[in-house]
Amino acid sequence: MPSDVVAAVDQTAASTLLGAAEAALGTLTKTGSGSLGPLGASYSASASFSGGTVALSPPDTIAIDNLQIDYSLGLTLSVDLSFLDFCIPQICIWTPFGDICTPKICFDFPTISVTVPFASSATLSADFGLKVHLTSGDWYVDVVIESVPALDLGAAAVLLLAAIGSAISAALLAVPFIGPLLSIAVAVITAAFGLADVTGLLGPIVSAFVAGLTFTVYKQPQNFQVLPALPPYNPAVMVSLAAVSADVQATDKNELVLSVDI
Amino acid sequence: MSLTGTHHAFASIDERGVNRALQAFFGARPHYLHYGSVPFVTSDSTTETLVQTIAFPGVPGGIAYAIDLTIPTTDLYPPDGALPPPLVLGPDQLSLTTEATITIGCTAGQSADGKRGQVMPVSTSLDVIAIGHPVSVYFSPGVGYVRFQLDQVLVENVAPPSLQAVLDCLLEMILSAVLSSVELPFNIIDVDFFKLILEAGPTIADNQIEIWGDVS
Repeated sequence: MPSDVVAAVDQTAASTLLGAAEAALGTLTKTGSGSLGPLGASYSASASFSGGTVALSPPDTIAIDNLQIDYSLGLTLSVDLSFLDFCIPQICIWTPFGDICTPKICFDFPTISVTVPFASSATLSADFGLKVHLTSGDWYVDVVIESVPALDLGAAAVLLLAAIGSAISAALLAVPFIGPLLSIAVAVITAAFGLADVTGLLGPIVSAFVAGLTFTVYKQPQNFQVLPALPPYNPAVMVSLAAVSADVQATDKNELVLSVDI
Repeated sequence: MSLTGTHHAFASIDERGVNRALQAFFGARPHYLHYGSVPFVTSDSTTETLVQTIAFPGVPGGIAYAIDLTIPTTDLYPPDGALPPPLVLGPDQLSLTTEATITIGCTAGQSADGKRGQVMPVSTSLDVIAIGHPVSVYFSPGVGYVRFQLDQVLVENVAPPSLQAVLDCLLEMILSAVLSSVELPFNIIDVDFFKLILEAGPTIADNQIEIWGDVS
């Protein structure tokens, strides 16, 4: 039996609905930790999505091309400077009055935290599926990514590598007594990791936002308000959305079709 | 043929959906179906609407009356069955069926003390069939509604023809007034899937009301 209510959009309008869903999704945040070569790294990251063009394929595939992800990182690296530790040994000079000795002086360098702010963007193209569910009294039609595509983060990784080097240099300048050792320290630390390590850190962070990416294109309460209350004698008019389904139908053009029984 | 056609968005509600929407509307706001003067109705409420008695010289307080309608049921084109002549349901039309009960407060006759007697309700129930068509009222994207405009009303099984003409006209006025309050907001036709920019419709075909447009 046909549904009571049928609402359909073509690919152009579906792209418009996607834009609204992206805005509704807002900014996502994640925190975590990883490693950058021998260095420990923790991060807080945020990301948002925009753009993209929709191509509909029956029975329920929504391909989105050129979806942009804008992300920013607050990367905190833990740099152990103990490899710079050194001591000035005691030196004694003989005099007729006895030896005069300098004290032994040791310099212990701390573990410092280096914060690296970074922001960039990437684009992705992927197939999404349709998921309809009733949760906590609300009907949802979600567009859910089917698999995480490979993200081209090469250029961003190069920039992040440079940003990390700059941040480490700046942080080391503030370390007492490091002056003569600064260039050595920077060289040793930045040599400890390379572009592959940065890519290995950045990739999972960005991919975490893409994994399970879900845009909600429809959300309405099952107890649906048709008309608001108009006091004193007109209560709100409600209907129950008994069943909701969504699919992609192909005729002379492909359409995303929402079917509802009331 | 695609649903959206030359447009980007399409929405429709079928006959069952319209009837359920009407049930929801009149179920929540039954005062649109029940009208009466004192003593049948004493005040406005969610369930009833108070109207004035019909003033008439020599009838103290006027002629009391009440009109009660059942929730109309619709049949969208094409018709489920033949309508009583001369009604014919054409494309883009719908029929509405209701039962109208007209009651008057009869005070004819006099009591023993020379005063008029108590008001005695006298009622008749009439089967009413109307034909109408949908019209849209559009304000802004997603904000608007479809309502029904009557084209013809027929009260069945009434004779003589002059009485039928009177009742047809009376019920057409009443039904038109009632239906002027009934709205099918866009949000029940598209269930808020999108904010419709209305470009075409409403039309009635294949037992459903259809509208087209773009989305914002």
